[in-house]
Amino acid sequence: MFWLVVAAAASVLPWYAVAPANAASSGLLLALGGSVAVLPVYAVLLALAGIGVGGGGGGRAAQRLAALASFAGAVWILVSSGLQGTPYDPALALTLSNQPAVGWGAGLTVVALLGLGATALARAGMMDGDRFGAHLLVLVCAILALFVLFPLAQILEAVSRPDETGSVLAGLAGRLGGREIWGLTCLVDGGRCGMVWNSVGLGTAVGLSATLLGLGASLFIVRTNAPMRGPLRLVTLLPLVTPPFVVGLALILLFGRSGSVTLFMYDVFDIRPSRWIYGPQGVWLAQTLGLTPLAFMVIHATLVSVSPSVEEAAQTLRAGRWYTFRTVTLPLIRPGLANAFLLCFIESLADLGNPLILGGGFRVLASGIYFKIVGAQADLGEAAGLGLILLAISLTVFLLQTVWLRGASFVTVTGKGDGGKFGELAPSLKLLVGGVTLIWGVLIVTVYGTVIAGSFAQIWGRDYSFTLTHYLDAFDVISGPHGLVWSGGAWNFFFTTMWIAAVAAPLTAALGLLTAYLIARRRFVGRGVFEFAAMMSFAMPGTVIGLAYVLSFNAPPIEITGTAVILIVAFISRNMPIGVRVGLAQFSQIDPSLDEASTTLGARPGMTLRRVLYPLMKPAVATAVIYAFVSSVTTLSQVIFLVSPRYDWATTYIIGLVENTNYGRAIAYSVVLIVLLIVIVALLQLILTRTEFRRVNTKSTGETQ
Amino acid sequence: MSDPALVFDSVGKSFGSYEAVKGISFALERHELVSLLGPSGCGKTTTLRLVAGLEMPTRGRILLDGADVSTLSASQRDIAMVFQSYALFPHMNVVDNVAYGLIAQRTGKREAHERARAQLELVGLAGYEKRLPSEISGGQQQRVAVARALVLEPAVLLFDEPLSNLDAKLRRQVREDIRDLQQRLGLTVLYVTHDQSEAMAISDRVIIMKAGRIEQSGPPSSLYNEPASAFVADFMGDANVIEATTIAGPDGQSRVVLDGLPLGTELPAGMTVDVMLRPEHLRITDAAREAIGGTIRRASYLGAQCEYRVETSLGPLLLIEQGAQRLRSEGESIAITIDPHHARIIERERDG
Ligand SMILES: Nc1ncnc2c1ncn2[C@@H]1O[C@H](COP(=O)(O)OP(=O)(O)OP(=O)(O)O)[C@@H](O)[C@H]1O
Ligand SMILES: [Mg+2]
Repeated sequence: MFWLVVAAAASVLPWYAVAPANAASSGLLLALGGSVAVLPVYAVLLALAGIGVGGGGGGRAAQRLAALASFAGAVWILVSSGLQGTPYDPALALTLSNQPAVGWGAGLTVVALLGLGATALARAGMMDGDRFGAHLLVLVCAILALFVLFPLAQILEAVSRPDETGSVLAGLAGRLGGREIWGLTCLVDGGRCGMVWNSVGLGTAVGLSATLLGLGASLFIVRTNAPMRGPLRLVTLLPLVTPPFVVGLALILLFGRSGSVTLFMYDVFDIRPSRWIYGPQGVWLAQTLGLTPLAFMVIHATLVSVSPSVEEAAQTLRAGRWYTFRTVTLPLIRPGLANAFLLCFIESLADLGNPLILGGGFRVLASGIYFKIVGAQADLGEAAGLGLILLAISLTVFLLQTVWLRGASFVTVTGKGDGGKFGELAPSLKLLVGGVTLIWGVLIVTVYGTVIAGSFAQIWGRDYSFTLTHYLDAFDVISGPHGLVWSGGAWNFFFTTMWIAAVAAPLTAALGLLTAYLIARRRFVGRGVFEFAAMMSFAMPGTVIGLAYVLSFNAPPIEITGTAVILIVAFISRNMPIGVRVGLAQFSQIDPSLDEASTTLGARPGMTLRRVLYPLMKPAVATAVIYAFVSSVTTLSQVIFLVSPRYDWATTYIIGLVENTNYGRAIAYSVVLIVLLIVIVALLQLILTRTEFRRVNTKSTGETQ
Repeated sequence: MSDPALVFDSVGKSFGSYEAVKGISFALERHELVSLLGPSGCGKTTTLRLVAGLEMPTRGRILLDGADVSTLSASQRDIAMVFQSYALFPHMNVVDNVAYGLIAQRTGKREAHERARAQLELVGLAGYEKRLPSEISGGQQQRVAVARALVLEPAVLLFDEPLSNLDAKLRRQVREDIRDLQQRLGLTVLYVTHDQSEAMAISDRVIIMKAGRIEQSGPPSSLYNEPASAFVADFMGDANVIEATTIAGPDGQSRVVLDGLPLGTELPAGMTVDVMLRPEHLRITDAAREAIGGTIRRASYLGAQCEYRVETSLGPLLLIEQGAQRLRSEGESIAITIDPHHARIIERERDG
């Protein structure tokens, strides 16, 4: 009933985003005027009202049919207003092949139709007739279809367009098979290698080094009683609130041609300054430093969940410390290591900032896409080709990760207090771990020290005198005649970034956690496929999403290029999987009999979710919101193609400064961003997890349902 | 008025291709406490969850108070359930837990809390209202779970092994409390357990399940004394089951002969049968005639009784001697007689 009212209300709103000339603007009038695009929609709506989806008449078969009709209606609206995929030409008549993008009327009608479809599905017996669940499922599926699958399809379409000669095959070959992409000349005569090899090689190297460093740091923190473990813990978190390319920036300040280390070496050892940091080794170093915390978190989580009693058992069986570590501990955390490696690999592939500022002539797929879009030889088709390859690699690794590592985890949360203490590490291992961690710690501290020092130095490398100029340039506030004036150059980007991220973060977290709820707690057909689709966008590199959105959303049916909406939508679809992951982990800790108890006490799913699950999920909510916020603020690759003069992003602004070698201001801005993020994260943590419970689980039971 | 509170009409439940409940039928009269008893994995929990609406039947009908509820969800059925893990909401205090169901059904908060308090008093937990579940003992948690279910005054109250998290001593006490409450308030209860002594102690009737089917149902005494199969005999207490063949006796009545000891039966001659003998119905005798000879292999002194495992020509037998003063020694030779009235002879099941 509700949705029929919504549809009715929508029928008097402007149907299209642009009012067409010589035609009515509201859906109802268009339909009465015999518009081929709109008429079928109202036919469906009338039929639905007739068989009473809202009121609930008809048998299950009728309801199934009604659901089908509703979804068909929604799809028709989108398809009919985007049949050509070309911009609307107001000069031409409003025909089926010349339609403006959907406006409020059409958009709301789509929503109403989806709602009607969900209601009908529930009445047809889906989710045991639960309407709330059915609506949730339809909502998530619609978002995935519209903002993940549809853009992907657009990439495929762009790649397979015929070339100038009209040949599809030649077009494909040109976009997917070029020497730029697959070339191997670097092996022979010092030429350049293709971007695929560069990306994969870099990803592998970064994955390995970050995993090793992460393992070292985890062992150091969990298994030694060395001093400084607390501060180190905090330091490991720093890169998480840092835009990735800031590390690269610091490396330039240290090792660039006029970097402080470079000049020091010149003065003392007479080593000539060179550009050695620009190239694969520089990118590798920057990414390793930036991604080690990620590896650390994954490995740390696995390491602490290894039950100490297993190691104690090994030692009572006369195994020495090294032997225990090699034969028991290491195999137990192997899934964690693999996971860390694959995650770092995917992140390295997706990173755009570091290859951009440190790559020099070394080009990877992500930066390749960038230059194909903004460079001199801009070619969306070729960019799409690179995007497709990048996506294929990323998805393959992701598949590997989900299929191979699922069920490969030996570490179980028993909930039983096993007691026991972790065994000590062998002395040689302790030394190794300490050494590795020390080097890493020194590097991180140097990097951040440089960043902070750099932001206060007049001109780095030449004039180290203290100044606040960079901060004032960016963030000056003067009091004018009409109150405060935000006169600094960075305020504009700054405010935009903050409000858009603040809008996107709760939506992202909510959607991710609700999706996790569907996966973990509800039974329905196709749940496995649903889970995979929901997690898939995690493997979509930001540049690919940006590119796909550029291809998809600046022509009907949905025209949102240049608006804040496109940024919000991009963040939601890219970061949602983290919410899903966090949510799934948390749900596995909450005894399902709690939901069931609530249900048998007469609570509907909505109440169970609100009063029982939500309070128990609060830590996950906090994590998901924080992650979504931080990653939206710090990302470069996702936004770089989507920003517009009106909605520009902090990171793109900083990258612009770097390209103009205005390092001082760029770094000052980064420092402000980092400090602010730390404050915001701390606040969110405080607000969102205020009510803590002593125990999340009810009394643990021997039996699980 | 007199129609049953709950009816299962050939209800089946499949998980994929595996049928966990294979079309069972039974009814629960009002004010009756019925136990579902059976070995692990036989489908007890699944049956209970079918009643609750946490699982939907793949065939058959479920009637609650005469109305078909087969397709209703759990929140729409007039039942309440006490979970094995208690499933108390860890973030709500005791009284909020108990009031939860009332509030879910749109009772005002005030009234809900009042009734919750009254219910807590009834189960002897007055004064614990503001505690969190983690701040009370296991036995108290169990009583909160019961109070939370009872406060809704459900048509049928369901228990899934509610005592399995308690220690042996407390278990006895709590099961008596539950029985007491049930009789005092006239509750209709379906109770799942795999402990036969628990089932016998508190039930009006016991339903014995095996591999998704009902094997036998009836009052505890009739199940104990007249088991319909060796499975039931063995499950309801200890039983010696001896395979034998019926033969025609001189008087035309058929009989089985155990080591020279004849036992009459109604069954026709020439059948393979199981002879079931309760250990307390075997008696040690001094006479050697009409008795089975055996050697004590293991002797256990249990206070009120002595238990012996005896090696005989019929195979090993378990024997209980009540009120004996002293324990016989292992290795001693004895003679055993059987009270023919207490021997139960039934046709052997084909599948064993
Ligand atoms: N959700 C499910 N999916 C698949 N099989 C299930 C599911 N739930 C139960 N089963 C199977 O159905 C059978 C009956 O399970 P049920 O939980 O009812 O046993 P039970 O009699 O309660 O056993 P126990 O005494 O161990 O609790 C078991 O073989 C079990 O593996
Ligand atoms: Mg069970």
